[in-house]
Amino acid sequence: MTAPILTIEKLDLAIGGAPILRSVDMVVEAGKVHALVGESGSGKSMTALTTMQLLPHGANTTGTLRFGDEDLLTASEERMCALRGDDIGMVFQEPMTALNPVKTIGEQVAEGIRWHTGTNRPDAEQRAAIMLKRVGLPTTRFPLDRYPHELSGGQRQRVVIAIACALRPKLLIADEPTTALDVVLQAQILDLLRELVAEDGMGLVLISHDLGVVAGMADDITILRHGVVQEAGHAVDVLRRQTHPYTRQLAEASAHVPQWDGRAKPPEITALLDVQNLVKDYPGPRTGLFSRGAPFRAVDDVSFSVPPGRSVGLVGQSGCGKSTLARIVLALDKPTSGIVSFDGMETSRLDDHDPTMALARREMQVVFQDPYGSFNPRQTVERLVAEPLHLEEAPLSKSERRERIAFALDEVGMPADAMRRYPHEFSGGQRQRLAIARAIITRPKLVVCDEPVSALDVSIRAQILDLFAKLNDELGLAYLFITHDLTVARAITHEVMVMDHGRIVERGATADVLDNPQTEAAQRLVAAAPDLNRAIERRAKDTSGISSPFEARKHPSS
Amino acid sequence: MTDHLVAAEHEDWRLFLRKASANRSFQAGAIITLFIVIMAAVSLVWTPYDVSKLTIPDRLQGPSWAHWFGTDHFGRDIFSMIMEGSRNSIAVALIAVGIGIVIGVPIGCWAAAKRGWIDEVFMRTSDIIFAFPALLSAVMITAIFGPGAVNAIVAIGIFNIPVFARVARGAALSLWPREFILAARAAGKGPARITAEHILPNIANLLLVQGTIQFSLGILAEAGLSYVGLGAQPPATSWGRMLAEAQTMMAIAPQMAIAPGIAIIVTVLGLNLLGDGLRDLLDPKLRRER
Repeated sequence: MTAPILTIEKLDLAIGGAPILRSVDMVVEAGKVHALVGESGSGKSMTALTTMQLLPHGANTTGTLRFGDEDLLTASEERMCALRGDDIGMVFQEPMTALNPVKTIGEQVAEGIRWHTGTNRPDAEQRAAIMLKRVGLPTTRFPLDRYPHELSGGQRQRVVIAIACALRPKLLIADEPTTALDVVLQAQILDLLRELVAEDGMGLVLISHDLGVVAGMADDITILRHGVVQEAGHAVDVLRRQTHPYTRQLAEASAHVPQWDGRAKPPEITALLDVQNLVKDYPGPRTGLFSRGAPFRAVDDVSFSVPPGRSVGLVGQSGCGKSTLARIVLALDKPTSGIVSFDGMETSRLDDHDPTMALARREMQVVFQDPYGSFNPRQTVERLVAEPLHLEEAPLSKSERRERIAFALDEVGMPADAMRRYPHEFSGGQRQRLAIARAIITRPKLVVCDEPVSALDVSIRAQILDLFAKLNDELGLAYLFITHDLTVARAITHEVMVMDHGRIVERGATADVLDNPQTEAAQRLVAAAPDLNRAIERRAKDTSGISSPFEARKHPSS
Repeated sequence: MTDHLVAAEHEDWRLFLRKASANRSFQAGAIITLFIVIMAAVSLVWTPYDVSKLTIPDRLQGPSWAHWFGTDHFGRDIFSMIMEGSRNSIAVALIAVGIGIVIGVPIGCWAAAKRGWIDEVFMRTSDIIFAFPALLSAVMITAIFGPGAVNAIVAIGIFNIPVFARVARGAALSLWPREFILAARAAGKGPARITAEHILPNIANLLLVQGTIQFSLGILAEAGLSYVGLGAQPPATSWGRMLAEAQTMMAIAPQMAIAPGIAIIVTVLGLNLLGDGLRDLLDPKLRRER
């Protein structure tokens, strides 16, 4: 057993008097991946920030927090500045905001090197180039003078990792490093982190809510809930045996499949939504005052149909054109060519003022990914949920409106008095329920769902998936369900379409496509998708004989 | 159930008042602004002394119980002149801001909603307006159309239009791609309705802050125009005119400059506090916290 890099004992944290962490114990060893798992508000990010001593004002910590032999709780700010970025690196969730948009990637990697080692610029840049090459961005293809906006999300996350690892830290803290990425990029980033841990022998604290990711990566695991450690020990053992009720609850929620009568229903022959030879070009970048580069084809000759009451999944990597397709289906964007017809109305030909369009919009609604961004923060829930009601032909009286709103809220499991409140007073899951209430208030036939559960915790995600299933049963709603999460696609769709570079490359019954993918794009997605049970099986095989139940360390409080 | 929701609306008002009673900057701003408005209103019917009457023997007195802020070089009571002048200063600045908001905000919102060539035309036009030094152009306009309060208002107001158009456009542009706007479009609402229901309430706080800034700039611009003799014409007065007249007397009668200067500062401060307070009170996120 190697020496511990980070030792946390009986750590209590309170911010402004409110307890955040209670008696947390955790030991991170060199060359090991320690997963810190929990739902939002469980205190996992706060544990990371405590380790970095980057807590907000009014924070009060007691207990032990040792980095090697050094006590971090009493370390001076000066000392922490020397440690941060040098011996302790951190990778954040959102690669879009973790990089400074006005500095080149070379400068940003070299910055830390120069600051901590005092080397001159050319040396630092040379080291930066080596580091960027290690994370898969060789200078031949990605020169140091590239700016963050010239890179994709996955490439940016590589730069963030290069910054964190440039000085070969002893400890790397990665806070949800792949949550903002699609599954294929996620698998690549996780591979990269695993390599860095193996080669440099650093300790990695991997903060995640995704048990599938953790099962494939972690040596040790600590499961947090409401700031209290629920279970800790050897990752594969903990996840395989699932002795602690909360661990079992998390595992079940992450593989949750709703009880759903509509699943077995045979499809109808008629098409509710019919898309034919759809093409969408975006103008190319401006190359001169009057000239533009070649247009970018986001959707390339796509045809499909959705029968009434059927749930059709649309899966693919980010940037493959899923969301553009959704916007065209919803008539928020005009296609370059091709036909979209909805319930017999050719919506791609209609403009916004057409009365037929109002009819089509009433029957076709949308739920977005971000439960925070999808509401106007300045309006009450009553007004927000009632938004589509103006499409009704006959104007409603005030009491009729309120009745409709209350009814819609009831259907999504929210109390009627939610009407008077503002969106920020609700949790993410509740907001998503409100977004669904808004979508179903006009009794639509089709709801387009753009990643509606990917910003939610696993247990909340399970509840929202149940809600989608229930609404399909009760209202006969058809879904066009866009997701990059194959577990979700499996749980809630009858059929699935795989999209790649603007084209639909494969489609069929969900189980057939996901169990037996034919095309390269589909195979890539399926192979990259983290899966709890598969990962445990694989890991158990690898480590069989090494870990036995007797060796597994159990947390004293669990 | 409906009754109980109607009752809830009254409760919202009570909540607003309760929050207002806890918001110090709103209170201070409201009191100062109210005081100045009352002062301007009272000056219509009464001032301590008649400012159109010159009393040369009393000239250039320092502050006293008889003349709170002293007298000027014609023996006029400075406090009475501040009251009298507040009407012109406030009217010019307020109407100029009003012109900017009423014309500029719709232009900015329209440009943001339509994009394309309409946007380009408006924004390049505002670039051209910005390219002229505002005060010099105002001098030009008043020189052509004749000096006076009305022309000063128009001249200052014209230069407020692109300011508000820019602020409104920039803020609106950042809102248009947001998902709640997409959701509203998916609900079939047109650009005008979305702007009214979703864009304006979300950019109102920015406009409010810009409004207070432009108001103070308006008072200063009016002062500048009056200073060169193109604003309020004698016997009418304004704070800017008073400052201009004070300039030659600075060494012997500093009270002549200090009094209108303080009046301008207090007014601008009061409006800024009021703007800040209103912004916080109208933000639902801050409504229940704090």
